[in-house]
Amino acid sequence: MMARLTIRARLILLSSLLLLVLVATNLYLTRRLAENSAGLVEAAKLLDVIGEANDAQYQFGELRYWLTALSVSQMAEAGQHAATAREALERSLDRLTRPQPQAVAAIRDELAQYEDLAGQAVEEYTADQRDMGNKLLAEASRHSVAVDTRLDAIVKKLTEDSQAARTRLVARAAAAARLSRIVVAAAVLFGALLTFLVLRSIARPLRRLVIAMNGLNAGNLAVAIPPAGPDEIGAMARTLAAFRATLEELRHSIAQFEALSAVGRAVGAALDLGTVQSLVVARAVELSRAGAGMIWEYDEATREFRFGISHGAEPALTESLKAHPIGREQGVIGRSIETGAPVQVPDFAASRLMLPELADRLAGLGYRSLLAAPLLHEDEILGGLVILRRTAGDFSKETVGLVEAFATQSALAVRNAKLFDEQRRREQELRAANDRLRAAQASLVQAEKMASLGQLTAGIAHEIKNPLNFINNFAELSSELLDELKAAIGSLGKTQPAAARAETDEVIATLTGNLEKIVEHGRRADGIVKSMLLHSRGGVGERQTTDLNALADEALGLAYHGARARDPGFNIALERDFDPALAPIDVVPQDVTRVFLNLFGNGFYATDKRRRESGDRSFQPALKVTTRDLGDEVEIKIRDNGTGIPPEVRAKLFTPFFTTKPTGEGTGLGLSISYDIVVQEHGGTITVDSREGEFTEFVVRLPRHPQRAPATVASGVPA
Amino acid sequence: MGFSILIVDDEPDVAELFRQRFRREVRAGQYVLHFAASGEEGLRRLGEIEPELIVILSDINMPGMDGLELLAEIRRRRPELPVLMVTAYADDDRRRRAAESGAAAFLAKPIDFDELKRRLAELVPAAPGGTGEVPGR
Repeated sequence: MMARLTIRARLILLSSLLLLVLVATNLYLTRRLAENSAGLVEAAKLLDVIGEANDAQYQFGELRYWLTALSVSQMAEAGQHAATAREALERSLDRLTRPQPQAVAAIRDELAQYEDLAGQAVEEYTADQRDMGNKLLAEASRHSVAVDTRLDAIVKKLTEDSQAARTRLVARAAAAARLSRIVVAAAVLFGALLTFLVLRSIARPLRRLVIAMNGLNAGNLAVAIPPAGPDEIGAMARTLAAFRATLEELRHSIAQFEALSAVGRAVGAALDLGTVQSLVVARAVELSRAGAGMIWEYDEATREFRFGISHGAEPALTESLKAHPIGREQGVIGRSIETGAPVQVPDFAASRLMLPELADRLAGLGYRSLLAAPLLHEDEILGGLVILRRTAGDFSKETVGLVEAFATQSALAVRNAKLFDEQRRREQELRAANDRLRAAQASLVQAEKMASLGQLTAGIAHEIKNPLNFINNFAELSSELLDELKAAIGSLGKTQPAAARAETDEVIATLTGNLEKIVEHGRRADGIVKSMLLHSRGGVGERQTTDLNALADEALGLAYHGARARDPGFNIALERDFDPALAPIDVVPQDVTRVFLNLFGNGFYATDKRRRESGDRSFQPALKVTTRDLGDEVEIKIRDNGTGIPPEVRAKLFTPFFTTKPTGEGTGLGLSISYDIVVQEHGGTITVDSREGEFTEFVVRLPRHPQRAPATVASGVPA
Repeated sequence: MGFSILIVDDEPDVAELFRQRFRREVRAGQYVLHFAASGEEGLRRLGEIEPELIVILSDINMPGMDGLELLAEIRRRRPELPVLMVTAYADDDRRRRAAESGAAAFLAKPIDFDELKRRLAELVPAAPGGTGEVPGR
């Protein structure tokens, strides 16, 4: 009840009530007091009357005395005294007339009779008629008694009256005092109760308000704000509620601002596009309190929007959306692109803009409305940002603005990412071109070096080859001639002594042996020369479409069996990691086989050397061959766990005649020839990576379409 | 009566090598070997060789007139006479040029004498009474 009144009204009411009680009490007491004063005046008047009556009695007594004395003594002065008394009596009686008119009239009557009689008596006594005088005096005394009696009665009655009036006044005063005490006590109690109630009606809602304010201050927007009554506290509660609403709005605005700035930062930080787009969609969905959101990307080539990424959407939905691009002019996104502004569908059921099947699919998942904002950068179409909601109805202006802002950011991100990608691609292209150039330069230098070395080698080989041919030929011939000599001597032998024949035979046998040695070493030298000459034989082999896996496998088997044939104790774990998708490539198979044999042979040698040198029985020699189709080229990796190649050796690896093997074990031409075959003949590369005591890995890359025509280095060797 | 073979090579030991390699055939009178140390000498002796010259073997790299020039000249003078080119540089270019100039065959050094003898046997005209017409016989 109290809360319906304003606090001012409550306080005014309280004060008024208390004032009223005070005034009423005061009025009452004043009236009582006035009544009592009036009573007291009456009582005083009564006492005056009583005094007058007593005075009258006394004067009458004087009068009687002096009259009696006059009658008896006939003294003149008695008569004067009597007259004086009579005047005084008359004055008293005059004064008593007003309060006691009837009694005074009766007294005057008796007095008159008394005076008359007393006068007669005086005359009688003067006349010495004593008897007559006495008789008259006696009669007069009867009236004087009546006068006395009447005066006595007046006094008595007035005294009684006065007594009664006093008693009454005292009682009335006592009652008034008692009543006033009760009234004061009641007023105090009532006032206290009223004050308590009023204070409580103010303090309780105030306390609740303070709690709410503290809650708000602490950032708790969900704090309960007391119901707003019609009073000032109600007004405060309403203000507080409004404040909270403002605060919520503010907080929402801040969240939006933060989200936008976060997105802006992300866009500015040139994060990868996927991250930025995820951020945009997630924030857009959260801040617009939607169910799901997604970004569609525009594909310029097909003139379609393709589903990009989503937030909150069901996996089944995203799968189905991914499978169905939307045409450039179709649907809500198309419309938003056309208008360049957000387009909303407040209710799928009533929309003619949406693609029907899409609307059905979304409605089937409980979505009711959507908002689409275009991703545009100047005139370039980049895609669309779509927000899905599970409730029907218009999107708030705020949400539309928000989603538009996000779309702008997203478009910017797409644009940035595109520029960034383009730049990166250009950079990569540049770097790749630069790398290619540098590699080409390096290989050109290397090739030049190798070519001149190769020419030199070929020249030397030619010069050696001719004399060597003679040596070999003549050695062979000499051997044949010795056979003929032996036969000739045999036919002559019958005539010769046995001893001489035995000696001849021995010499011939030694000669034959020597010639065999010459032939053998000549052949070896011839082999070396032939290897050397391979440097100069340009374009001998023909390119054929070849299965490199099969070629490598075959070479591996050949190399392995070759190594086993030379050293039956040799063993190695061979691993083949061949790319099954390796497409055939045009190469000169016998040359590539030669490269393989060289590299495998080296690997075998290195692992075996490590096994022998380390003396570690647990060491397991291993060689792995990996092939990979890299599209434009084919890569072959040959990795062994042998001794490895020291850096100083690596630099000279492909130099002709450079060998680390003991004399007679290697020509120093294997890698040189391999280099020629891979680099010069096939336009490929051969690189090596190694760690001493751990591994060596050769990587051969053969391009499918060599940039350079196969070099015919050293083909024009001067004679 | 055998047939003549002319070998043109600036290397003197080539003569000795051929003689020894063909000693049995020469002893049996199957072939007569003639040697010239240069292209010019080979051309000069072309008319005086007896008995019938059936083939010329020529090195390519020689000082003065080289084998290919000699080949061209012989083709001009004696188109029916087969010329076998011999060289240590058995590359495509030389092969092609030799073939274009009309060389009958191209032999790489070191010469495989067994192979050479087989080829010579093919060049020997059929026995008298055969279909092959042998000029100057």
